[in-house]
Amino acid sequence: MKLALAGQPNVGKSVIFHRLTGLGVIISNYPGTTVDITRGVTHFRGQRVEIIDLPGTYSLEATSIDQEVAIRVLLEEKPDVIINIVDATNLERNLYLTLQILELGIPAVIALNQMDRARKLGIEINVELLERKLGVPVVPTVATKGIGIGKVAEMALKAVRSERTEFKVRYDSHIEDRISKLTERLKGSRKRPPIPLRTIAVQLLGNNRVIAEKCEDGVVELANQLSNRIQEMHNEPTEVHIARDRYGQAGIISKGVTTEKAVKVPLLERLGEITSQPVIGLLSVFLVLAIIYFAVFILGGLLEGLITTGYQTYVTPTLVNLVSHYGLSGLIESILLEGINTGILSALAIIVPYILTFYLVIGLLEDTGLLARLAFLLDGVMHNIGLHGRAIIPMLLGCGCNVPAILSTRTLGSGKARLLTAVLISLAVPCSAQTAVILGLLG
Amino acid sequence: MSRMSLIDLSESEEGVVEYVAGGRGLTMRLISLGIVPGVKVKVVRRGPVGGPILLKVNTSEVAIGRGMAARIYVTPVRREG
Repeated sequence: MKLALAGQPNVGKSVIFHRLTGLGVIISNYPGTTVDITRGVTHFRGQRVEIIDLPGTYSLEATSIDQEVAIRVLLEEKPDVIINIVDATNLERNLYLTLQILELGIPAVIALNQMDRARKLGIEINVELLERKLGVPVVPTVATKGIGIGKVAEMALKAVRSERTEFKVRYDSHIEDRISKLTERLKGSRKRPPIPLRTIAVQLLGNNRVIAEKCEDGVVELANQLSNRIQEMHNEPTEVHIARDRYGQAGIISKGVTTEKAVKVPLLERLGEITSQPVIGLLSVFLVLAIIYFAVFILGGLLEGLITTGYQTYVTPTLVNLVSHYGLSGLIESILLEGINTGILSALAIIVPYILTFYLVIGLLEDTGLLARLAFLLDGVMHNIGLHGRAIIPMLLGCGCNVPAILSTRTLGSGKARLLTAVLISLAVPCSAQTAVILGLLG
Repeated sequence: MSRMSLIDLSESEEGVVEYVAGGRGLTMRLISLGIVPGVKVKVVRRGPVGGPILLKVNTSEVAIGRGMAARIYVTPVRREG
């Protein structure tokens, strides 16, 4: 059985993926792209389940490379069921993707994630009502704590056998007319993707190039004509029109099932607001950076002392004993005692403590969302050197170790930005080991 | 009320998105962030030194660059009192 995980970025999709698969995971690039597809295999109720983690996308319209990969995988790998992970704190925007997934006619289960955070923000969602409106099972989850994941898997297995619901998004009558015309034409066409005709028609009118390449040329031509006609009538691109209708429907559903009540905004959320103010924000960023550095040096220094003492009390004497026991001398003795002994000690004492502490601190920082604020605050400054504010994150990581920093540049938008950031990191950002040496030389 | 560019809104002002002056790519990217004509957006913060603009769209915060913001036209919502 094949199961696909779909969801918008930052909804907790990869957490759910890892909860479902454990660690038997293969990460591969989709051929010809740098978009990651993660696959895993798990066994559930005696069934072998292959899990495909689609790239996080806001939609399936194929306007960006990750969207293109997402829709392609869904069409070509034909999963038996889709688990759509939805951020409960941001229902309307997430439903936009959900509606498109439901339109594909593949059995689906919705994991309504981050329910704990939604509750804290005063957002209540009527799960049963949402289920009825969408016609698919909805399971509230808190992925980070593993709550609800078992039930999602169970519902997914059930959904494969259940009857497919014909979910329809209603579009504006001008669009509906063209959908019917195109659907009629599609009936006589043998070359078409394995999804409902209506959906093919909608996507073709919206210029979805992945769908178009899987259809007959004549059909695509007709779709373009119809699409241009709608465009002339409304003076806006047809895909924008379709998107707006779909958004409208997402909004109606979301408003119908959500009640918001005013609550005291949790400290962490408020912290985000405070730290996005220019002056306070920059001050707090510098404060935090200073704390990181001191933490790394103090904590790292402490660890270094421990490791050095431990090594010199337990390992060095053993080596010395060994050397004298076997009566080794000359070259071998100096290789063992001066080369290997000191070498391992310095590697352990310099690299492990500082890098370990650095990643510990960065990990904590990531959870607070302060890194995203940093990207926001420094964007203007970074633009002066031709970079996006986001490039600050790899550069910060570079203060720990340049290797993961350069790996993380792949999250940047363009090839040019990646190259520029990578070069900057290797030339201008001292890693923690270099910093230690610099401080040692200067101090 | 007259339309203006999103970039001309001050902090904590709100506007209803009217249209996006841009090609398919920009329009679709904004749509995927929930910035669709008819939606109310609020400028939460304007980034320092020509930085991005932090918007509140529905329940989520989205930061977009000045260049993009300049091409989004809105009708400002004036709140009385």
